[in-house]
Amino acid sequence: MYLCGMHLLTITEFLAHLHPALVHLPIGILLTALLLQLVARRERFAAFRSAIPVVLLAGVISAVLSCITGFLLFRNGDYDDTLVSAHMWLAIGLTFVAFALYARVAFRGAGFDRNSNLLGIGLFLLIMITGHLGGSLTHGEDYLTAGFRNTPPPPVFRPIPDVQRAVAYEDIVKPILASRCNNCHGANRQKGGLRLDNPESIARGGKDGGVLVAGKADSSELIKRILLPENEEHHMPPKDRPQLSSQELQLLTWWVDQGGDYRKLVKDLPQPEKIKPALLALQHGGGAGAGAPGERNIDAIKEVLPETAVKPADEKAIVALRDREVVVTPVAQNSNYLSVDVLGKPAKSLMPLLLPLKQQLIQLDLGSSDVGDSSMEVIKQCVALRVVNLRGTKITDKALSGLVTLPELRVLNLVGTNVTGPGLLAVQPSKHLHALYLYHTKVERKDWEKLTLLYKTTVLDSGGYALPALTTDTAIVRAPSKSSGK
Amino acid sequence: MTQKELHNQRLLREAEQAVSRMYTRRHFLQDCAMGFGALALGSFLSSCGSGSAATAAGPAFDPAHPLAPRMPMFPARAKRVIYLHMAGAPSQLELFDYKPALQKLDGQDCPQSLLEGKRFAFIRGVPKMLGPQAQFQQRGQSGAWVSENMPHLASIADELCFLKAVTTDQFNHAPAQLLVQTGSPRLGRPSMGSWVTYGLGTENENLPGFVVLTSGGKAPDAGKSIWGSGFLPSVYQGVQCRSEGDPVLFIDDPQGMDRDLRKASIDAINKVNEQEHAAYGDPEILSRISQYEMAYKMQLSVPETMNINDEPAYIHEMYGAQPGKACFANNVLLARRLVEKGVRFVQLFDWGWDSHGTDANLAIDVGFINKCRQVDRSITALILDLKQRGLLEDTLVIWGGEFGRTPMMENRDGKQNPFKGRDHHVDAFTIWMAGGGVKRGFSYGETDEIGYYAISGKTTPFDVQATILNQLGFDHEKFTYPFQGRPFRLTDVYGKVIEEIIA
Repeated sequence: MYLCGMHLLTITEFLAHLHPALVHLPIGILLTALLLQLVARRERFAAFRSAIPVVLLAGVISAVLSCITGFLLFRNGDYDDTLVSAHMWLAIGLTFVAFALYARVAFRGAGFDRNSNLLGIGLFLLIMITGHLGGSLTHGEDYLTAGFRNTPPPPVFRPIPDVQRAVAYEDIVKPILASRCNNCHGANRQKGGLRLDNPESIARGGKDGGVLVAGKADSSELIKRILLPENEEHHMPPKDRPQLSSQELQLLTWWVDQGGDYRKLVKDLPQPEKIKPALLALQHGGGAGAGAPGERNIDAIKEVLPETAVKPADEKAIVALRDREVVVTPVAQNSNYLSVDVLGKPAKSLMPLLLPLKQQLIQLDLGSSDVGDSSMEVIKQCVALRVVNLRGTKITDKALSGLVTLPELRVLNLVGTNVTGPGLLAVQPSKHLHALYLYHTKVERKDWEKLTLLYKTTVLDSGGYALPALTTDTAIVRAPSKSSGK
Repeated sequence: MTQKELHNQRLLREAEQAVSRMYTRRHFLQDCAMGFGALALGSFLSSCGSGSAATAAGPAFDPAHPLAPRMPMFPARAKRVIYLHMAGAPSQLELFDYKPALQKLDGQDCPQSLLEGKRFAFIRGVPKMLGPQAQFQQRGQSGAWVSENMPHLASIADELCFLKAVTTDQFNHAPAQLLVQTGSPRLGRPSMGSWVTYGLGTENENLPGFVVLTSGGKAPDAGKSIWGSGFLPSVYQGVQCRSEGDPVLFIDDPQGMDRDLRKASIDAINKVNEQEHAAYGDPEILSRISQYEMAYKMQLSVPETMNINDEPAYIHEMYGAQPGKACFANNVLLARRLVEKGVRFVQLFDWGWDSHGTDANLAIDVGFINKCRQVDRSITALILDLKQRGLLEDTLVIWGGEFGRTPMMENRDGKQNPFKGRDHHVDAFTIWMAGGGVKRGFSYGETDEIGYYAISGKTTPFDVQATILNQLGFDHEKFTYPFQGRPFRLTDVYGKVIEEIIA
């Protein structure tokens, strides 16, 4: 029951969300009606004339429905005020014009006189303009013309040759505001009456008052709104818009804290230790990107998951492995890439079952299983592999040629195997390999130097760490006898 | 009617009543809601984005295989977690948060400005300031400050990622421990390990997915709730193992019962349960069946995994383990063995870090130093051992307490304590992480010059939880479980992934 109650409440929202789909009906139907009206002038197409009123009526009804759902959407949503009210009034006007045309055609039979022609032309123009405004609301104002701009949007920061001699507002703050805020608080739109693209407007604030308290970032609405949790209604920028990176936020906060001055150079402003890295980063041209947490996370994920998608693996092949108690899991939801772990059970006979998965298999754990050099024939063909664990298996140098050279290999665990230094030196390692674990192998100290030269971009871990015996390991501190007397 | 017939009739009636009792109003309504509601609205509404939280966000839960391995939401950086919880809360001021300015204030009265509006567990009136009771040095290439109290750990400072400005809002052990481990200072929420096993299952079906080991001679204040499963199915609760004697109580078959008989009896029980399930369709029955089966398998696999005697001598020496005794070092070695065998979440609690200065064992310059020495070697060995085995890559290790300790010397009830000690402090403490895709040799957050308040990079237990889930491939805001009519999550309504520490 509660289920129903919950959804009754959202029924208006549901209807409102139908609007973007529904609007295509009046557009299509009314345009059809106009087309019929145009061609039916000719006697050849006179047969169409009787259809015009019906089509017009359908168009009017669908226009009315679109107006209602649109109004619901307008009440629920947060849209640019000027754009949305223009869209709304034009749509209502459109509906009336369409109705007037229908009335003329249906009741007076006057389909082709001057007034009807004017109404038809007016209706056509209204459909075009209203439709365009609606599209701008949904897709953004620059959606249509995006294709004409062949230059990519400028980066937030251009590299600043000497950050100390940069103007704090002009070179640092203004670009941040321009990229993150001015779309809604700029020359074109002033949501909440706020404009953030020039010093005077920033000082003036929005309809609820000032946004900047010079020297006090904590009390400045400009900063407070950014700091609010992203789910919060008042959080800025809105949830689905690009957010400020932590570095941009740091810089903005620092500028406000230091007085929010529009002319001072960076070197004339106090610079606490913690802002220095952010300022220095501007100089390297890395700018905001270097500090943008989201981007870094994506980089990290790229290491785990290939960028290109892959088609799903054969379900039968997965089931065949699972039937033999092999753990086969996708590496993430909505990903077809797979991770396979044999849990240290005998796996030699399973190897052929891996072949159907060779495009999807990116992580393979054969640790402590019975696989040996002969199993490499299969592994060699699994060219998507990124992480391979062969810890404690019987493989030898013979296995290395097909293994270390796997094109996408990132991490290889050979702990406790019989591979040797010369064996590892005889192959050309994958250029992505960044970790190679060689604890308890036959790799000798004398080969180490050569290995580090060949595997320059790889962290080689020989293991065998030991901790020195320290007196602190066993000695016990006792309370000085005096202190107990206190 | 004979006596026997009468008896049979009574039995039959009783059985019928039992059946009808099972079919309560609640069942009826539930069935209706599920039946009609799901039929009519299910697919339609879920496509509108308002479907049930369990299907939209949570992992697919199969009651017959509650621990089957499942995929994370996005590619994970860590597959396993070892959480080393120093119960009682170690002093950050004698370990990682070096405050030379505090030394200058040593012995002076605490300024009123630090006391106004504050509540402490034991400090009353005006306490004296207490300078750092340890020598500090910068270590490794990262230059992290680590005190002489942990000389081994100091040598691997470049492997660690410090969070130096963690804050909490609970100044008593039990609620603070609950907050760190379950995301709520009150009882009843599932612990982090339960959430993780619920989300990811476990790869090794012969071992529990979530194992808890305790040491220090005392259970954590918050009791078993800090590894409880709360409202999640009970199969996800932490399994507490002992490092001395039987690893799990009553794991051996009783005298006179051999393994075949055990198997036969479990099969019989499961058959009855299957009939029950056929009759009522309650998923908890399936979960029960799988628990019996797991327990049967664990009878063999757990003692084998928990036996550290088969580790070579140099590993024992590295960890400073003492086979046969119950101690932290043994637990740490066990933790490595467990994650190596595919256990998802291992949680260690070590009691004895509550350095109030009320007796020598709780003195910051006596007992505390001994506690540090007890753990220093083994935790360092753990990091290095995981590293050389290639496990640190995808194992996240976390070390920390439930809050910090005050820069003031504790004056219990306004009187000076017999030893130097510090009271509970909520406004700043240090934890560190290693492996599992966090930065190496990195330090995030700082405190003011006496270590009283966090001044930058302030984080909360929720942020730490969000970060742990993130490394395991979960969005902490979308990883939910429906309970009492709303979706619940580990971080409640708080928490932000600490992106700055992610490698």
